[in-house]
Amino acid sequence: MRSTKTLVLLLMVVAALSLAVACGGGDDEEPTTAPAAAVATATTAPAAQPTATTAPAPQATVKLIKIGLLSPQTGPIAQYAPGFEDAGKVAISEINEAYPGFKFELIVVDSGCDGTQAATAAQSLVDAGVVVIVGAACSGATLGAIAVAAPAGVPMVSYASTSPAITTADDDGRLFRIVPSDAQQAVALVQVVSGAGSSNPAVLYMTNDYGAGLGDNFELNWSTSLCTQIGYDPTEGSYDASTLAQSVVDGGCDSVVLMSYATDGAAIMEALLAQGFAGSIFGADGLADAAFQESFTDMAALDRLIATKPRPGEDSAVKSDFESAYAAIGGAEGAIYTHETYDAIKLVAAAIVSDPDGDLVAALKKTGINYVGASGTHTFDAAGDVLGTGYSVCEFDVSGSSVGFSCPKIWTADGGLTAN
Amino acid sequence: MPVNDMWQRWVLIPSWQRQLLLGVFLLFDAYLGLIHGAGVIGWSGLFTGELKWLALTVEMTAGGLVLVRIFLSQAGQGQRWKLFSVVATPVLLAVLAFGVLELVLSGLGRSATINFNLASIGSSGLYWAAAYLSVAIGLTLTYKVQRFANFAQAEMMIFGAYVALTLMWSDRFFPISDAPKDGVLNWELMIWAGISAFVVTGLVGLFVDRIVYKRLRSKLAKPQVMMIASLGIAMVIRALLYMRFTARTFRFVPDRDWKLATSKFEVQTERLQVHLGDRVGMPIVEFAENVTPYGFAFTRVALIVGVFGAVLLLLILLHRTRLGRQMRAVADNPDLAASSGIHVERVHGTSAFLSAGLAGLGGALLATVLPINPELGLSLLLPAFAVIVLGTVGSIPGVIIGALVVGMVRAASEPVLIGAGNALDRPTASGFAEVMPFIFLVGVLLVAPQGIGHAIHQWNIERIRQRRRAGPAVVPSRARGAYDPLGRRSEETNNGATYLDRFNERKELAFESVGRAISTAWEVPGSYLTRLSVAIKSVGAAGSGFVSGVRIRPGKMIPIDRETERGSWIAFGIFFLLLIGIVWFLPSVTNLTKTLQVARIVTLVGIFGLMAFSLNLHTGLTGMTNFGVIFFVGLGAVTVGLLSAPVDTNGYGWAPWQATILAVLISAVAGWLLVYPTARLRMDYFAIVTISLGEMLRISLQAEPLLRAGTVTSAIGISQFARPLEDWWEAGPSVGTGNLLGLGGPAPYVVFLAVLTVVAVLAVWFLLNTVLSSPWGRILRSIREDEEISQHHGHNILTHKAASLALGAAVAGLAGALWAWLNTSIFPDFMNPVRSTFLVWAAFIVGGRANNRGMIIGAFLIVIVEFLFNVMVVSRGNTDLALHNVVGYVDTAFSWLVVDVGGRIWSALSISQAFPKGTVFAELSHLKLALIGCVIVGALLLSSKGLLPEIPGRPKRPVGIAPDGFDEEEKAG
Repeated sequence: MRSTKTLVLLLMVVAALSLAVACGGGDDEEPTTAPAAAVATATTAPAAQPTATTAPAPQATVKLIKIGLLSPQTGPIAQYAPGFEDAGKVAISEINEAYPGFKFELIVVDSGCDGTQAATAAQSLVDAGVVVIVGAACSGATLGAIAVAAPAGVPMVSYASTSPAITTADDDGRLFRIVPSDAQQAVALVQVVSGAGSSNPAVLYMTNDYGAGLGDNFELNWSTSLCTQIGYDPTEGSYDASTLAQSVVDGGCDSVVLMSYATDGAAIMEALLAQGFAGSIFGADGLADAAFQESFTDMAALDRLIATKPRPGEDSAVKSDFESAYAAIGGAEGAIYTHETYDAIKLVAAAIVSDPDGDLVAALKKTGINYVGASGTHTFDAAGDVLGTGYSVCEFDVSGSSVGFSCPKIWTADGGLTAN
Repeated sequence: MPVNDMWQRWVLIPSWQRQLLLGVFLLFDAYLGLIHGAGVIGWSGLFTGELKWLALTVEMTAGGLVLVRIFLSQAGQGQRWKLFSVVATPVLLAVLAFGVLELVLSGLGRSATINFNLASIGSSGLYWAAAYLSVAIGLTLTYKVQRFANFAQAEMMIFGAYVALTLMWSDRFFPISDAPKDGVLNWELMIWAGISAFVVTGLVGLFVDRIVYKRLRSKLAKPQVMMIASLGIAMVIRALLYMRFTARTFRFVPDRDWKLATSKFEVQTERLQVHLGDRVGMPIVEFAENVTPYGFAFTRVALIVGVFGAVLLLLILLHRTRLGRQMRAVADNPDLAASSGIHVERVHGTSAFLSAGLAGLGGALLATVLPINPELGLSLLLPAFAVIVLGTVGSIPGVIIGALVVGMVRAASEPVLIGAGNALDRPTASGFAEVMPFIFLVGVLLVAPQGIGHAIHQWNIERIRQRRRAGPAVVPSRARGAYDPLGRRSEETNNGATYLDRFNERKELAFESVGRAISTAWEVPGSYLTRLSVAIKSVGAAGSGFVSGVRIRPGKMIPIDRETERGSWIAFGIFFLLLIGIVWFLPSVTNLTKTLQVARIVTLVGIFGLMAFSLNLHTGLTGMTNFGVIFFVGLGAVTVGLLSAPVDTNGYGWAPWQATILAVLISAVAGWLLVYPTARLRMDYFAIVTISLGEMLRISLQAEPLLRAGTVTSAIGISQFARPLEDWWEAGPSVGTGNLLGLGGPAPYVVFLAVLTVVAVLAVWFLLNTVLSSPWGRILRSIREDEEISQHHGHNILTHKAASLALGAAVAGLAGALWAWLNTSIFPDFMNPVRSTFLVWAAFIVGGRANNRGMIIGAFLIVIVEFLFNVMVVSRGNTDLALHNVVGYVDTAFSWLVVDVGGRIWSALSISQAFPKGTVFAELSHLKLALIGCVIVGALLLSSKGLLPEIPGRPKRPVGIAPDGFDEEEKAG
């Protein structure tokens, strides 16, 4: 019988697979005798023992600590996944160097930008014995994953989920995030736009949780009526940048505020230039990065863009250090939230090191007070959110083939717009 | 009885008059409601605030649609009217849309200004048409010749884009791409990219056809099986692209001058301003002054000209060459074609080459306009389906018109959505532009169920008939008038007709010569293609020879006939135990995490199993190709979420069980109602309507503020909804269960959810089995086999279909509720068909159609595959997993493939672009995607009936007497 042949073939395949898994499982159990905390102590020599450390570990034993990273490797924002992972690599190599008694491992899993897949991925991370999960990017994925991670006692630190739903999530206090919610940045943007003399701006925003939140809050804080508001799906092949640009021109708007990511933002700005739009263009933190220019073919379209982004700490070189390290390993161009990813992993590592066997949630809360990172100075509030320390207001200046990028002003909740 | 009397009289009225009354009533009532605040909807008190005018809008639209439909069905006597009605449909629908908008806006006392920039709409419409067409043309060709919907078509297109990118990075062409701007357009890279994308992608298409589809064809696999196989192929191609080029976005720059903001044609344009609603002293329509010219980018022109040019060449190839005639012959009747000496397999190969090649060419040209990443294809695939349906599946002229119409509708709808959306406090409404192709398609199908291509076909037949009639020229025109409802044809039109004929002759002459040129040009590559396909075939034969060499033939050892009740149960038991074994061996850390893992697997299997039950009832038993499982699931999830979210955050504060009952009911009613407008549709059209509904709901979740709850209204998504018995569980049983399982603490809620899911699955399974073993189950099967025969036997097909749809939809709604509880939040991405509908379809086909046991196995398989391969994925960073070393080997092998083997084809630059750090490694998440694709394709190649095939109602005939084709698999083996 033909049908039974199939059956047996499948049987064999499945048996082989389960054998492989069983081997994996068997090996897994040996070193992981440590209980719930799942911080394994391995006696293996660390792969890259730093040579320049001043205080070497008392013995040859190092603590093996696994950190999970949920990255949207497939799905609507897959194009930004390489950036998150590159930032993660920078962070992991730095913390392995900084804390010689520990060996940190980063386990990257695909969140798919979707609650169901992210939850399954989080389960796989928990099964692999991670002590903390950094991620996810999409808010839906983060909420799906915390439903698995919280009961398992694993805290999560999201590096890019901006939805207000994160604040109220049922997380047993285990969900943190290192990006401020959109409301404050919208206020900053409103002041920047009106301060630049625009009275009739068009608002173009992505219909995802980041763009819609920012756009709605902008409208809420804008005193008069807006020229026009346009939502679009940022997935390539779902929107037509030229139509969006033409709508702005036809509406007679004097400026444009873009709540977009780098790739679609660049496409819209190039289309605006092609349609002869002469007004000023403002953007949010999706665009406010010197690397944004990599998304352009025609640099002229980038000229005079003013964009806001979370302000880095007062006297911090963390940001520039991270950026040079990121560039040195050839990090992905046109990336978003790389600073936040880097900060999340470093913060988590600092918390673990501060109290290796204790309660990680408490350690995270303690470490997350005025933590100076590459994306700003972070303090967790009771809900696990960060408030942020205001925003930098940055400008692009293009002359010929050279692109200048500087942040001459800052905005704070108390002080408003001031010179940096 | 006066009531009875009235009823009798009512029934006696012709149905169109009844519908007319209904339509007029709906319109009038909605008008009253909108303008004067009266009417049924206002008085019922069910709707308040925004819901009220939304309901009124829906009422008015429904009334309008009914009227339009009556107009078309009553006016549509005679061919000429039919053609007219098809042309008039879009216009009528547009008028209806504007009318409703105008009334809604004036009812609310608001005004909207809509800016139609004619050149912008035209250019944008052509752009969308070209983008959709480059996917749709291959879909149509595959549909025409090979008769299945090829989901891998969009991936072929993206493949072409990457071919162009690879060429751009080559040592020869990179200097051209990288050169500073000099004001001169360089065509060299552009042209070579187009040609190589066409050829290379075409060869990939040919290769896939030989390796996969040919085998399925030889097994006489159903189109549905081929379709799911193509889904697997699409996953594999996408995964390979991901692995080779990573998920980064790249731009194809044929020469910097192509992409400058100044590289454009300045097109003079007019701007039409339409003022709707409460306008004070403003005309409805006016032309704006001082309009700046529209900039038509060169790259867009290249895309449009390139794609439409290629499609025209294809048309000539099909209609004016021998090869084209052969293809059409195979499309019409493969057996007859084979008997008249046509090499059918070769024609299949050519068609596969052309479909993939055209998609590749389109991809290369699209890469000049859009940044490219491997996900891009998906956003074009579904609209492309809408295009082919609108143009009547399988009709090439139809698909061209369909693409133009859909493109124009999409482009023209954007200003309307922006203008009206801003006026109605719904700026996100412009997000609906993405689903405009679907909304429009559903609207057209409701009134003209057979699509545009059908009308063209009819018109052609009529034209030929008339020419025949006019030929002898003795037919008196009065006699002809009898056929013509418009009366006699005047002399002028007659003259016109002869002129048209003469023109056609000239045209045909011209086409003939072009066709001859094409066929000569074709012969050279054609002969190579034949040789190549022979080579592939021999490789394939060697491969399969090898496989069958090592195949064990256990049939004699363990005889299980899976097509009997007992055998099916035994096979089910074996598969189930195997899968449970895998779950058992899945690694985990502690008791608690293992419990969480098992509970999650059980719940997911239950949810996907319920969805597969629903699909099985619709598709496997009743024979309605439902591609909108996620629509019903989403309806259930959204209803449950919205109703049981807290009142202060835009929810309704219902208890979960109340919300669940209503959600199941709403899904069921949606299923029941769906059958009436779609009853007359062909089954593949029904599939598109259902998939469109799913997409509409998904975009609504993104764009409609009323579908947000749980936090502030600016936040997309529904969260914070109550889950059933959560407090009860946490207060009591969780502790006991936790002790029982040795968790060292209370058991998490997901354990209870798993129990709940198991109960739900068993109940539904039992219910379905009871229902399906009743006579009604037999009726459904008979409808699947032959609608007309069951109609002849006195069954009301419509009611039975409606009941089947409603029951299946209710099951799907229940699955949606469970899914919402598992995820604790509802975000639009969960409705992505790739992660829901397509997966369920894979479970349905792999598990075995029309066998509910197979559904469970299929669902279990797709859930477990994800977990199993995740073990592999986490092993990269996880040094204490045994698989960790394997990752090193995988990386080495992959690096060898990319650098040493592939390095002969592509340049070092193309490697360093994707892997800037210099180390080439395999991204395991993407490898996982490829492996899942392979599992799907492999399972179908091994057994195209699925793991647990349907148990035939009658016992099998004894072996030996079986007529040809009775047991396909037996023969193929």
